[in-house]
Amino acid sequence: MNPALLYLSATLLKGRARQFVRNLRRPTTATGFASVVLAFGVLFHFRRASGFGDVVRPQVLVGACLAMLGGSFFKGFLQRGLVFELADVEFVFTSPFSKQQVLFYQLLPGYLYALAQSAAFFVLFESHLTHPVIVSLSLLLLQIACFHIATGAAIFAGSISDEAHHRLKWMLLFFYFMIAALYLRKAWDLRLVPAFMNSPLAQGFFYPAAPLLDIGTCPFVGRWSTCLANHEFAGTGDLLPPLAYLFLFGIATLTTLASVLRLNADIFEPSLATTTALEERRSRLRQGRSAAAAGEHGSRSLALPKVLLFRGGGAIVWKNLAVALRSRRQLLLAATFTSIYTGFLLALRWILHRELADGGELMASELRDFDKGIAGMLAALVFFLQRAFPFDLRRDGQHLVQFRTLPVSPLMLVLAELAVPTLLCLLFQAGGIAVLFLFAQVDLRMALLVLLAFPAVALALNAVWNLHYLLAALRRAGNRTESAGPVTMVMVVALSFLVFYPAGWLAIEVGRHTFGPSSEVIATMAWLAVQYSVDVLLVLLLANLFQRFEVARDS
Amino acid sequence: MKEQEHIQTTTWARMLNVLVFPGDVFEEVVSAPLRLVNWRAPTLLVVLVTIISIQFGPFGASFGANLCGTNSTSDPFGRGDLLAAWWPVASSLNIFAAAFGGSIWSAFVLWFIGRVFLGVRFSWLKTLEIVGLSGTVLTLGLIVTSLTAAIFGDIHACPAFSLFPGKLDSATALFQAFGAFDLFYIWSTAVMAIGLSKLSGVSVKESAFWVFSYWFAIRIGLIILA
Repeated sequence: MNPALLYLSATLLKGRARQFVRNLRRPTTATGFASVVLAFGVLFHFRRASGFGDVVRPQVLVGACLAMLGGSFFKGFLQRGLVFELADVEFVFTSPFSKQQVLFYQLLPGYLYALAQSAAFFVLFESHLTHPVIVSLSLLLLQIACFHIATGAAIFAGSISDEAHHRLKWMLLFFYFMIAALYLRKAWDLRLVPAFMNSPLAQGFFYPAAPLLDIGTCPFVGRWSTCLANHEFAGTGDLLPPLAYLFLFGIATLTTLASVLRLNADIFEPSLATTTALEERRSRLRQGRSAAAAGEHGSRSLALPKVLLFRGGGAIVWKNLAVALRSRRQLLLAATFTSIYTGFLLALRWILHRELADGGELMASELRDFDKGIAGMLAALVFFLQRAFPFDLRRDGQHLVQFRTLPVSPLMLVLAELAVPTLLCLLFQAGGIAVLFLFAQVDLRMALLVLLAFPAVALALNAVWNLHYLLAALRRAGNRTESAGPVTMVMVVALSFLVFYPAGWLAIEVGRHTFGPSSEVIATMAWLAVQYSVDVLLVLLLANLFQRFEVARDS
Repeated sequence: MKEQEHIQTTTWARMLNVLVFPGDVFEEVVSAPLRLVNWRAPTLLVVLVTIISIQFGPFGASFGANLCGTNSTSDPFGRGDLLAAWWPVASSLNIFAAAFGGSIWSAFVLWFIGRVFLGVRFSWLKTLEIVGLSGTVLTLGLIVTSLTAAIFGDIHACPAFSLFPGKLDSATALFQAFGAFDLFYIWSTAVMAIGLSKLSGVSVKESAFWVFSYWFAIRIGLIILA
């Protein structure tokens, strides 16, 4: 080392020592120094305790050596270049010193620190070591070597690019992690890795360098096979076929999805046309118009009716009848559905008739109950037919404003709106009823009941649904264009059934509280009376709502 | 402007070429659009070859005999036949899951190495293609391992260091550590290192450090430390 630099180091050291002594006048520095001295004093006092002996066990010393070596290299690597005083940069760097002399100058304080550290080590652990001097000297040399490593790492790290430094830093950390894990396992028998990580299944994490042959024949496969075999033996393996189906359908789903996604055809042009057409259709339906586009029919105009019935409010009935006559497709669909529905019911009645003809025995009351059941099913047909005949406020809801200008009372208008769908429902039901009358032994009472009950049911249902259509039309008229949600639809369907509850409940109660052959007749009459009352109330409610239309519109 | 022409090879050609020219194959894969068939086809081939090797090779025979023999002695109801029918299904499903799950995991590891340690961004799906194609080496390794086991009459015999020490208990960590030095594992890992190098643009040495660190150092570390 250059004598000038040696002198500079000694002078600096002396200066720092003086500065340190001067700083002891400050309470914080004095307290800190006193703490260090006290701690060393305590350690020195208890230096012969057995705990000190544990510190110098071989595995601890090896761990400490590894930590010192690894730590000094990593510290130097992160430092990237040596750290000098600013004054050194100005004076030492510009002076005619060689690189080696500057390095010695930089390392000299470290050497002194290593000397002090090994002296302290000797004082504290001398009693627990066989060769304390040699061990202390070794520690001195190791510490100096660590300073050299840190300096070398700092110089090397300063000479590489940021990118390479980043990558090497991760490599170092990985290396240290491996060394640390190995040291803990071997020196302290600490198992950081659970045993199952060594199993063939865990080796799958190293694919493609994985022992697939071992994975396919590992103990897990044996356990799984035994489990499957036991389940099948015990007859509880029924879950497997459904799972197999699920797997197959899953594959089919994925395959078809992949095929669809691979199609090269243009999806935008055709989709645009289809979407536009569908949106127009939805818009027409929302406004209560026919789903078919205007101008598709090209029907001729009808002559004005000369019958008095179609004057006044009857004109609306005539208009709706004209619309119905022009809606052949809807009428055909309704007729087809009615034929299938009634055909099924009449087939049931025909089978019973044939069985009875072949000698089957059935009590007269049971046969009558069966016929009543068939009639009831025919009455229920109106639930489906009602939706098939949109010749009421469903279409006319958009003309509410014009209807208000007509010289017709609200009640008359509502009755006119209900007339056509109700009549059509009854007309389509009539075919089934006529055939039923042919097969069944229908007495006068039954015929009268059918003739009176069916219109009540049809009227009630049409009134409920027209209530919904009228409210929807009122919303539209109030510029609230949202369509009916699923909850609304469920409520309407529920109301369709509830309107029959009062009459049904009363009929049952009357039947319970009356006795004799007239009990059934009284109950039926009660049902009819209440049901028609409900129908009247519904019609009046519709008329009242229509009457309030202006108010709703204004608000 | 000079146009570069990319010669598009078929998947089968790529799978064969990766055994001899992995660098060229991966260059083509990296520059081409995403084609997951590069992952699916080799991985399915690996699954198929493994299943065939087990069912018709010494591994399956030994495993089946042990399994059914162990159960038939303790089971008077003859559940051995059911076991013989079920274990190939369980084994095949296990292999299928291990191969596809393992390839997805390995692709993630490679992608993670590139993203975090190498500081380079690239597509995970491309990495999946690289891992899938590297699996072709494993196909070859499975065939050679089955043949080695058949020749030596020992199901633990494989083209690795574990073949040399003679009679060593296969359950010991030393045997397993030697077994990790399988010729085909080293080969497939080297192929993946080349793939990572092509994907990330770093040198093969640097990518090899990371790939071998995971596929060898950590693996052997797990064997020793577990």
